[in-house]
Amino acid sequence: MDSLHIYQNSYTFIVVFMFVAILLPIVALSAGKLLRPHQPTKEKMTTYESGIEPFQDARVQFNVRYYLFALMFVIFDVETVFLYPWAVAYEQLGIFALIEMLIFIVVLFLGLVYAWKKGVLRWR
Amino acid sequence: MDIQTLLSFEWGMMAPEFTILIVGILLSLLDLFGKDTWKKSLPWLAVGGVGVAIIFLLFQYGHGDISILGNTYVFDSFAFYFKLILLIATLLILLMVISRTVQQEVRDRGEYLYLLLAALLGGMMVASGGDLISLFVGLELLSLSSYIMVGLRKRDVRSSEGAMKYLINGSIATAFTLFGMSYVFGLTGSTKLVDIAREMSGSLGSGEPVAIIGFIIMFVGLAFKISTVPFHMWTPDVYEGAVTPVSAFLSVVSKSAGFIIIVRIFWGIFGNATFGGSDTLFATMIDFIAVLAFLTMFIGNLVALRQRNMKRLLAYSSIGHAGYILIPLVSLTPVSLENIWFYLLAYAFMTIGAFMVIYILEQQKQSEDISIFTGLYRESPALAIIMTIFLASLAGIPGTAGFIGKFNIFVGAVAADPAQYILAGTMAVMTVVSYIYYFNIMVQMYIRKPQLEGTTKIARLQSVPLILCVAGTIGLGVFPFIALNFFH
Amino acid sequence: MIEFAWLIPALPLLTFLLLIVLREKLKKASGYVAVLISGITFIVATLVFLQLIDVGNFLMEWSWLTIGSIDISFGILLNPLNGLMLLLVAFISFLIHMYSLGYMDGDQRFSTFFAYLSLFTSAMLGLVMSPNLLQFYMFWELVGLGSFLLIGFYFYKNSAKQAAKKAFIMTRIGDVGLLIGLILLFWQTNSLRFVDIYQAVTNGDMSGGMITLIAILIFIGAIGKSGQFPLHTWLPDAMEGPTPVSALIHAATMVAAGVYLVAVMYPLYMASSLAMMIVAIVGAFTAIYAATIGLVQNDLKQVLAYSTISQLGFMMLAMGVLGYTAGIFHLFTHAFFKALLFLAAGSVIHAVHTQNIKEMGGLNQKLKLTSAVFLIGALAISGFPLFSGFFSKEEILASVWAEGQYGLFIIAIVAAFLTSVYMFRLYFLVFHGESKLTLDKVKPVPMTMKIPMMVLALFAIFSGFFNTSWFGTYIADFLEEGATYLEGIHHGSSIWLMLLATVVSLGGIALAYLIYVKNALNQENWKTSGTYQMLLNKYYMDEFYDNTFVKGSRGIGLGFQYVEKYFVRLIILFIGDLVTTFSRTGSKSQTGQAQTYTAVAFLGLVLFAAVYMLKGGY
Repeated sequence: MDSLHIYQNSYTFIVVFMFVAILLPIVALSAGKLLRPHQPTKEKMTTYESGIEPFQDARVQFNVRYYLFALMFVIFDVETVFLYPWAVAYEQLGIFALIEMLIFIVVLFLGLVYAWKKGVLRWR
Repeated sequence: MDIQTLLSFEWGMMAPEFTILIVGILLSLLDLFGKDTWKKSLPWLAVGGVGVAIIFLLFQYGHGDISILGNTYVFDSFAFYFKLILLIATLLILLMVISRTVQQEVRDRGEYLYLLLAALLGGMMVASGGDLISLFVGLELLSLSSYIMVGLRKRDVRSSEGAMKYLINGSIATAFTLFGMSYVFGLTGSTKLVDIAREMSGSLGSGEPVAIIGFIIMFVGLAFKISTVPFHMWTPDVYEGAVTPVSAFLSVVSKSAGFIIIVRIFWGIFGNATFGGSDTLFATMIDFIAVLAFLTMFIGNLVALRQRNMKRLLAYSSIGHAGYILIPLVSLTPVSLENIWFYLLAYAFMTIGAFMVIYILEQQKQSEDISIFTGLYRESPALAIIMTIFLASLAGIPGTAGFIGKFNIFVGAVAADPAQYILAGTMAVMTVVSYIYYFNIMVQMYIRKPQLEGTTKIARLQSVPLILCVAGTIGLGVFPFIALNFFH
Repeated sequence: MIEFAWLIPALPLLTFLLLIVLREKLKKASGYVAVLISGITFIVATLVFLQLIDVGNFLMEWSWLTIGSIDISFGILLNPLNGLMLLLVAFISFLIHMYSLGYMDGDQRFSTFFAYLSLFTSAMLGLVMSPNLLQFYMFWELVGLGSFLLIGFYFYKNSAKQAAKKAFIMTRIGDVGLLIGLILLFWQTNSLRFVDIYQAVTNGDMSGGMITLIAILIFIGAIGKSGQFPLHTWLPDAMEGPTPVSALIHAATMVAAGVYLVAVMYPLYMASSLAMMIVAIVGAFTAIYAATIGLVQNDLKQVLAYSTISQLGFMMLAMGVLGYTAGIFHLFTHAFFKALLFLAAGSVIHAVHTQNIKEMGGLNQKLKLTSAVFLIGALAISGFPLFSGFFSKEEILASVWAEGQYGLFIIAIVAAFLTSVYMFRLYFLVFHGESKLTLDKVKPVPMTMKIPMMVLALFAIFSGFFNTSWFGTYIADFLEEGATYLEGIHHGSSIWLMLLATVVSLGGIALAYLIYVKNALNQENWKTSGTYQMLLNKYYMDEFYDNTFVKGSRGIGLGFQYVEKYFVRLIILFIGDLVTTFSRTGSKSQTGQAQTYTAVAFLGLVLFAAVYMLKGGY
């Protein structure tokens, strides 16, 4: 069965990638450890905060609203990701894709309306 | 795909789905923008929508097989009959939701309603799915809506716990299912069921192990949905956490959808795949499913013996019933599908009925313990008799739908080739075991004195689903041939 | 109209459901609801019957279960025989519902009584409309259940409880016979539909021995239900139930179901002369046996009960000597006059609160109407000329004579003579002589009780004229119309038989008059005699059963008890422990942790994969 060979061959890529993915961090980190000098001082051990002195513990609780905003952002991010390729290939895809995309946008719009009405977009 | 092909499709076949979709969207908009006075009538809109969908569906009775959108949406008799179960069950559950007029348990009632409809839509897409992707999307729509419904009582700890557990276990199940599907896709290069079946009907050769892996993993994933042992552990916690109508929904609609997708995929694909030259692949895997069925009946019924929380008890009993329905899946006779359908239909009426009685009692006595049933016969003989009918049907006493369902399954198991004597025997023994816990409830109702405070009265709205369920249970028990002839 | 025949059993069932659910709300009104619906039932039955006369037979069937090639259906069959039964049951049931309004007034479980009564009526109507034996059997059992519930209606009385239990068990013995017969029939003919069975008999599909065996087994069922010797002992005890129940169930309808069963299966019996013989002998023996007992009993209802057994014996005798129409005709007339007698007895009991006839007497002055209707009933049952019983009993005698069974003929004549003796003994002792009760103890009888009695009295007088050799044999013609399998049955009568019957009847009445009014016989002597004691104790049948079957089975039970205690119990305990252990382990594994759940699921998957690999999957 030819298709099966193709099927099994495509898994070889995955195996290769898996090995690379495992090896790369190990090699990089251990090589770095071997090459770099190691002289810790107190200042060096502090958390790096873009040059600003850390003034509290790194483990802070974020307001849960950040997550909601993040979720909303991701949704519309994905929408854009869908829209761009569709727009580029619009000529080939034809009417069916247009309808599908309209449905997609309407559904997302409903989601936005829902979120808006429920007060997700307001910071209280 | 150009506009001509698009318009040439018989979109009318999707009328029931469109109805549910439109009503669902309408509900969400009305819930967001409507006045408070309107919101009271939202449930009736939902009921009306499901009613219209049922009417649309019934108009399709006898319509020939048809598939649109490049085989992703299939209408055949299988889809028709099983969609009918989903719609009827959801209608009963909506009536159950409506019946509660005081002390709303869920603050966002609108969400509750359109999530139910969304889940129903998912179930209907599963029934009509002709493509692994549309099946999967339908199943996910059902599952995601269910996760939220379980967690709707936001301030209740058990509800959140149940929702969380359901989400985790459900996600794992989804991962399994998808993983298994990917094997099948890899093997055949298509996601369309017809193409897969055609590819598999040839000799699989060295692809056999891959197909088997796909089979097992996919089955395990779907086994979560129908809560088969050992993938059942989430069930009691989730049923307990959810509000009672949602428990009923999970136990009937969600489970039916699980069976629908299993039958669709496993009989449709693997039932055609030749294996080792002679048997179909499905036939070689019968033992695998039979073991699951055995374990499911065994553990479900035995553990149910020790439950005192009524919803947990019904959860375990529903696990046991899933085991019974697995029997016709593996005892292949011409009537297997008929038996599955009939049992699911009977199961819908009796289970929703039983949940409805519990729902009434828990509202009035503020408890879910089995003691809500104590002395019920004295407080409300009608309710006690109605509950007795449901229990008799669940236990499989002659004259009820449950008996005919079990009888058919039993005969099917013995008549099948190869005959499943062990499963048939287990079913008989476990039915006897189930008498213990069902009859225990009857003892509480008829012999014990009332232990809990609270009055028992049936309001008019509450009587509607009860009467419908009683009519279904008795009607199917006394005139099973009305349903079975309809099926042919 | 005939398409709505299914309404006939459905309506009383509706009453039953209505009364059970709404009994708290309806209270007193439940009686009126029941009477109203049973009235409608009667009207529907009448309309159906009238149309039946035109169309002949009517059959409606729904397939209920198909197993392979065997189709089990249920439905409605209407033919002359069950049309007649239908009308009879619906009519008497209606009258008795009405009577019960007055009789049960003030009872705490008033609506429950009507609910049970409706349940019974529904089952009885369903029974006569059954087109196949299976449905027949189901209703047969349901009828038994209704009887059980109603006999035990006063369940706080120990005797009522015992009587209900006894009736249930005794009839169950008969039912076992019926069930075995039914299974044998099904095995032989592959069908339980009456038409198929008739067909099989006519085609000679069954061997003669098999037919005889099946016929006898089915007859055992009829013996149990119709209180024939030796399974009759439950019927007198069944009088513990309220009197309307005795009238409806244990006189007019249910006990006649045994005779009806024989009539329905008549082609089977006609094919076996041995089975016919047994039916005739059992019937004749029961007729005279119960009549002798009836002579000496002192309980008003007991006498009537033994009289019922005796009359049922007459019907069976008629069936056994090819007197098909005579038997059914007697069933028809008997239903009226026996129901009448029970209702009259009921109103006596209602008035004086005792059932002992020794404490009564002279009641004809206080209960004028009751006395009159009781006299009519007594005349009818005694076969007094021109009363209904005269014609039907005379036909039975004619059939026996025509068959050439002279021994049975003599027995029948004697039994008929005894009938008029015990009936008039009852009449004279209760209504004549000196009053032993003080006047104020007698309560007036309400209208709801009077009307049914008057209607029944009319029928007790005139129902005989439906089938006479003088004016026309309407019932016989109706029954035989279209029934080809009924060829060769006897009917007709002769003048000398009529004269003989008249003499026997008048002789019995005269003897009773001499003994109980004129005190011509030295009763003290008679009462100390052994025969009297034997009769008073009903031939010691109860004691006989008690000492043999009950004690015997108790002994066997004791033996088994030891086996049970030391052997079976251990096994049960073991199984029980096993189940408990499993369920405990199962619920313990339900830890409530999502991690565990997932782990179990993964373990399951791994196990399956592993097992599959080990089995050589790869």
